[in-house]
Amino acid sequence: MQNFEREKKAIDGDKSAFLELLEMYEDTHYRIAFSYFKNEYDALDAIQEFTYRSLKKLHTVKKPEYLSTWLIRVLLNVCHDMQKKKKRLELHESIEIGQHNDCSYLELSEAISKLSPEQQHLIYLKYFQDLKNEEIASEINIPEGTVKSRLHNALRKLRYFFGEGGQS
Amino acid sequence: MSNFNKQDFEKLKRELEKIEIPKEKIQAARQQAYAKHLHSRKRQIKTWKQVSIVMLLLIAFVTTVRVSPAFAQTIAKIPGFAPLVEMITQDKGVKDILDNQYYEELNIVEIKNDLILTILGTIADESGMIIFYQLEAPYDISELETKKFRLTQNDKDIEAATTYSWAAKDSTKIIEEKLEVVATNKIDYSNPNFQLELTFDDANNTSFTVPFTLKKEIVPTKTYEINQQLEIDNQIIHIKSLKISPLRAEVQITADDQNTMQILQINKLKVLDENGEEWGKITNGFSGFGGFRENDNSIFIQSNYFREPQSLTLVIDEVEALPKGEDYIEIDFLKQEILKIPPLKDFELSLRDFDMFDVSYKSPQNDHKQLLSTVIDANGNKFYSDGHSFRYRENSTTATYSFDLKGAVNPVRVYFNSYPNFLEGSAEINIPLDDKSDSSQ
Repeated sequence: MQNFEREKKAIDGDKSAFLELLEMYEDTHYRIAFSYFKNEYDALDAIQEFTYRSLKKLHTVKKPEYLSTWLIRVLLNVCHDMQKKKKRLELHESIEIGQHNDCSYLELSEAISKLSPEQQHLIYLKYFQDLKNEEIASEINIPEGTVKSRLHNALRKLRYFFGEGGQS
Repeated sequence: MSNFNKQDFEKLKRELEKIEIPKEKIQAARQQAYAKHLHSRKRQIKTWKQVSIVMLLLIAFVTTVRVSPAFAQTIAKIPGFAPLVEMITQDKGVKDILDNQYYEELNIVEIKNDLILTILGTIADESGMIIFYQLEAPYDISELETKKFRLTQNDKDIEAATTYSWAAKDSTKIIEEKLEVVATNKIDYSNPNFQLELTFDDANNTSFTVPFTLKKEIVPTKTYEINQQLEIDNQIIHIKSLKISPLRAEVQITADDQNTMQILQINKLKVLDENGEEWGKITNGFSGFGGFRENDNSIFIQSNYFREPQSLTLVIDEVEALPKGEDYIEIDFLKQEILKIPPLKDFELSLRDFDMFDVSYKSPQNDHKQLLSTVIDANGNKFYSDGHSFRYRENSTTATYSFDLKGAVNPVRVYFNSYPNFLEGSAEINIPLDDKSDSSQ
């Protein structure tokens, strides 16, 4: 049984406890952001915006045990919003992102990034945090059957993107 | 179609783990976000004329209150309960005020453009006024801003520093808050009629004008002339007077011009009665006027107005100071050059931008003190810090400070407001209770 002492303090308004938590999870968060944008600059931007947004909305988290999954959802929403903004920018100003990283290994993550934030959230919980359907159900407060069907849909969509080899 | 399964995810997981984590940059990003966050939730403060005001904001919010059942009953009867409860837990003077029925209930209701404003009550004395109110709307007002607050008497502004507005909370249709007024000149209650003006940032810019009359007798401030000096670590401190009002006690205290050290802060300043009961500094809210670099300096402590002490002792301990001339940093933000840094052990500074820098220093505890605030530019004009954030780990603090430097001419001097470097020793003086003169100020 995990002890959620620090999470509880954070939700109750202890900002240094919350910042410590963010530091604890920073590797996971940064990797999610990086796999989304594939460059350090945007990933850091996302981390900053994510930190600000989560500080602002922290008090809306109901239970300490939901905090870590809630954070991932906030992060994915931030990435999603930034991506939308960037797309608009790129279309209007045809900015070329100068950084070319070797991203071949990130094909799957690219496919993941095309899912809706909600679906991505499920995938991250299931495959990266290794949670069971039952645990996901209780964490995000939906019936287990719904988790199963949503995951199924997400995977089907993934397979489609993956099969098409990234249709952009 | 590629067949993918758990193994693909495992592979991706391993690949993701290869992504390098720029720890320092992430930390910096987090600090920036925290600074922005702190800045956005600051209460709005307005000061009267040139008086500089010292204000402390508690970052940790009180969530539970432990009070005796009898006391809980007393306060439960008073409307405007939420902001009061917060004050009671942080200031024992406010608890005395309620115990002594000094709170005045008003319950004036005004309705305008869907907004219902109720002035619940006040605590008023010569040193200031706290007005408790409730605002109700048919929609979420958690992020509604208060644009303007004015308190007038005989159509003139009360000369005071004021705070208003609230930090965004959960979405809500009812807000219970307080307006705080700290008078820079003693408030005269010979005419007990006041007028309150409160304007909100809703679609209609709704503005309320509420006249109110105070019926309770306002008790006079007790003033003790002290005019004594004390010495700590060869530095002289002058204690001019102690003024005790129900809302706060004010110690007028200055540093001697001949001192070799610049006094920055007094961390422990308290009054003790004959039984050793203590009244300490204000921990959340207005905490003083002026500063040790200015001609006038007042530090507020919690009030024991409603007590009848046989004797009072003022104790001063943990005095922060830096050698004169070594109490500032000189920077040319334009050239991105640090021109002068005091020779402080373990203190490091790095410029981040044209109005921002990071510092790190050893600190015995995580007390979130604002190290630097005032900036004097090359032309002698004053500017201020507009945000800062902290990170504390193993006896060391890392902080980012940003400044509002519009129109400043480089190079600029940034003065220390606090630094964990202490004078050795402490001092105390007895306050002559006989000298009390109710009328003088």
